[in-house]
Amino acid sequence: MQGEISIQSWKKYRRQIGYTFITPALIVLLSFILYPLLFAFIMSFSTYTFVHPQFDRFVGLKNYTSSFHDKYFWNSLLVTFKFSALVVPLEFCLGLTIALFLNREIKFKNIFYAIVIIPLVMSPVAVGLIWRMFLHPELGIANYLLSMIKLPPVNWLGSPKVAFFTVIMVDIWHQVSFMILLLLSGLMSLPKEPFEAATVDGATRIQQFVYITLPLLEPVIAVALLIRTIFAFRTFDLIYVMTRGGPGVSTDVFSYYIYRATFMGLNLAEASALSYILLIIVMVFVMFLFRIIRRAQ
Amino acid sequence: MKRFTSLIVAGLVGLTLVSGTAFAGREIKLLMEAVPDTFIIKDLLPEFEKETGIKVKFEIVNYAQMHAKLLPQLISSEGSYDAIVVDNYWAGEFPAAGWLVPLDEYVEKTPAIDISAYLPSMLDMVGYWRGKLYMLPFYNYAMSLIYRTDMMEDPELQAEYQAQYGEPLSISRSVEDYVKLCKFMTREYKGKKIYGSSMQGLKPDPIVMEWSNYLFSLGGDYYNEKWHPIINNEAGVKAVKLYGENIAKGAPPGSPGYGFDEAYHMVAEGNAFSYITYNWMLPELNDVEKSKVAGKVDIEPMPGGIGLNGGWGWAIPNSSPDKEAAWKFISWVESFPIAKRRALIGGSPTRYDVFTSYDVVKKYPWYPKVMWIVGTAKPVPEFLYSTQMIEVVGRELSLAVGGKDPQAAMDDATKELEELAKRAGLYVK
Amino acid sequence: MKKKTLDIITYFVLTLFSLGILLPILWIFRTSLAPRLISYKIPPDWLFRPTFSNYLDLAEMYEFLKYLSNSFFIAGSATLIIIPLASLAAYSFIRFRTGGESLRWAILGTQMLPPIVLALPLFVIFKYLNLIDRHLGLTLVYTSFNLPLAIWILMGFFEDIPVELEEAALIDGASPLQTFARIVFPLGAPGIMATGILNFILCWNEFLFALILTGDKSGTVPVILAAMQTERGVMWGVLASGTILAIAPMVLISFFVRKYLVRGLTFGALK
Repeated sequence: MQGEISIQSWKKYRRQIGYTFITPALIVLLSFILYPLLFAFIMSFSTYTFVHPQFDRFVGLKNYTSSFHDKYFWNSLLVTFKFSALVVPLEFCLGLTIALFLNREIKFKNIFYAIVIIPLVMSPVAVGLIWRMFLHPELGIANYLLSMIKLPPVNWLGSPKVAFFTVIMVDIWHQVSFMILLLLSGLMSLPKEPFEAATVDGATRIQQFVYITLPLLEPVIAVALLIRTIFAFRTFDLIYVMTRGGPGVSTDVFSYYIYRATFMGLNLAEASALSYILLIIVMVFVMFLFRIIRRAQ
Repeated sequence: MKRFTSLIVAGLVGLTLVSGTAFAGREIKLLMEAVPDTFIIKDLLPEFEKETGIKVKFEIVNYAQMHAKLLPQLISSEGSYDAIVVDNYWAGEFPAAGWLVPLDEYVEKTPAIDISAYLPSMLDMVGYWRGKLYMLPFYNYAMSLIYRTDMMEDPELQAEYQAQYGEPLSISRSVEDYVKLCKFMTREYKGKKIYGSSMQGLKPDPIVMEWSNYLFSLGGDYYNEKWHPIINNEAGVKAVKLYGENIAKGAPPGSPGYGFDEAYHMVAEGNAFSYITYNWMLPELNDVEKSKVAGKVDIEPMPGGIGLNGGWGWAIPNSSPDKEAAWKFISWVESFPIAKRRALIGGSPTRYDVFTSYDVVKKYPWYPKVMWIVGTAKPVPEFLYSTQMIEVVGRELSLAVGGKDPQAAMDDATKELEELAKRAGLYVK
Repeated sequence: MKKKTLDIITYFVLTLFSLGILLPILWIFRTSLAPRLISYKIPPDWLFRPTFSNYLDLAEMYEFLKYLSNSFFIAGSATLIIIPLASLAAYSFIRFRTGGESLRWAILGTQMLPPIVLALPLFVIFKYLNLIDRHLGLTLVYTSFNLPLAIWILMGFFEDIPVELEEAALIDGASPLQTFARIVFPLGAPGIMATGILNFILCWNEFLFALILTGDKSGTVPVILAAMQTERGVMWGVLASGTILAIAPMVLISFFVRKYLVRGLTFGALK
């Protein structure tokens, strides 16, 4: 009879629609990602290497635990954590500030927008190389400008302590635009009514920001932080080009550790295990972070 | 009878025509690095195509990425590259893993290729492996000392040195003397701040390459004949100490992070007295369009006599789709006339017939000295895990430069080097 | 605080930030026009005769235009495919809670693996399917690998779209697909635009898979830029000019994009 649908069949209908909508995406994902993931997963329990590319022996969790005695394994995990813990919040705060300003009614928005995009479209290799040139201690423009305002030169990439902060600085220069783009789009899609109503009620800008903007923007903020964190843990290109993990091991991030195991140790099995270790760590950390952010709502 | 003969003749002529064009229309691909020698050969390729009908395509990548790109190619049954160039770091890895085609038979049936023309040090490094020939030496980058002649010949500096050390200012012939000289030359000179040596402390390749010169010239080595690591013996630790001393007192403050490019520019801008580097840096630094010290630099062997050898070799991978055409190309590019032309245009030679050829010496009068340098140079150990060895040693050297105790650093390196030798199956009890 | 004061602060902050980005870029531009002797000189020569030889070398020796167009084609195609797929999937996750929590996190998990070890299995698949050094190959890889990211970003944007509008449309007799196309898509326009741009940029800058899976036919910009770091030193002139040429089209495009973004918003406001 017309108009009478049971709750179950409505739910079932909705579920079916859900699956239909998601199927195209899943097909694409499964075709190209699932095989490599499974391959790598199985490799991690085997003795598959470039020299011996066979799945003929399986060694359980040996590849996972074999690096535990290597102090540089733990060092690179620590460096990666420190790096991400600094880079993500800094990029977020700076990015949100700029996005808020850029969202106001001002002139020249097009120009600012175009400028903000620029670092993002530079290949990390180019960014790394070019900053190396700027930061050359004796012949680079950075120390030259410092000397013009009577400041001493900085040993940007030669000192272990400074190099760590140098790569953070360059990463921020390169990646803050990611945050700006995402947060600005989020701000632009916020409805105008709550703000108009609040202004009528006499709320200040700060009050509006804290009580309307932040809560409404929260899903976008959560996603932005989530994704940036995942990428921060995977940072590779910038470190590879600028410092190769040095001086010493001060910038030796985990991706570079895995790269060495793969292409120098030729040990794909161990590298796969290490990759899955990182996956587990990041997954746990990020899920935890996500729940905290969502719960603050 | 006449008809029969003419048939035979026609058949023979036809056969010759066919064999001459046997390679026509084939195309081969090589993976190359973006160095001048590659572009020199690229310009000569139309001649090869005209002669043989084979079209050659060069794909150019950066050195560091070449290894990563090659590995999946080499383990597949048929790859994309017909011939490749092998850096000496991988010259022990690729044959040991069984990825290269032995070239002995090809050489035997090709009169144009004379193995004895190559310098023995080059053949040892990028030629033979375990008695079989796997590569033909293409390019050398042996290291030596480049220094400022104007400063060496300056009478004021000479007088000062004599007064301070009681001996005349001269080219150092030992590592200790070199460090002494570099510290002396770190000073204000004609209004510019000069550093004794422009050093490359970036890990892993630059620092290991530069430091190996120190190690070898002090009589040290990475492994002994039984593949036991001896890098932490007296010579090894001394090399670390002297290297650390030079980088702290005789080199620019940023040196621990200098790669090849940064160090080069310090010299080219006139801010360094000397530089341990590849021998073909000399013409670059003497080029008025590229360097401010053009005409003021010269070359000498590494103080202590043994420089680090480096180079590339042509090779045919087992996964090559067209091995015959690949060999045709290699035998052409390494034939004496082409090798000599490459050297005349500015390429880096690997054979004594080119090094000593009249035209080449006329154009590059310092080449006999370079030949001596290349002939006495010594490469890093070549085995399955050379690249990883370099990572380990580079890391420890970088830590030592940053303050870690040299003996402890070399001891830590030794532990890992021993493991690598065992993993490669080379360690002899 | 008066609006005028806030405006001044806004312009000040934005200008400072823009300078922070522009100054290095201008220096790169200068380097691209400088003969090699000048590029590293300190104190720098502020005035010199510019040369276009770097750009010419880039085009001739390095065949840069080919790499540039490859990058455009691959990144553009991947983006065009991803947008519809990711939008539908994100909508499905938000509205229909498909797969619950586990499916969406499993999808995101694929992003947490450093891609290094996945290069070899991909190479093996590609060899089998004859996709090595083909534009289609890299496009498909980028589509697959960036899909989870796109889905999650869009999820963030779609959450804010009020359910009531969709329910109104459904009551009016629209099918779910129509609802999606007429209500969600336009309202989510800023998010979709942002996702598209970010995805394009990710494809544009990706290096490892491009290195392993392409050859001289389908190579992309990052690969050729990396080749300029040679064992004879960095070819600064061509690197600088390559960087500038890679940036310029994107800057131009971003002007277009902003116009469309504004239009999309006003369209959405006309609900």
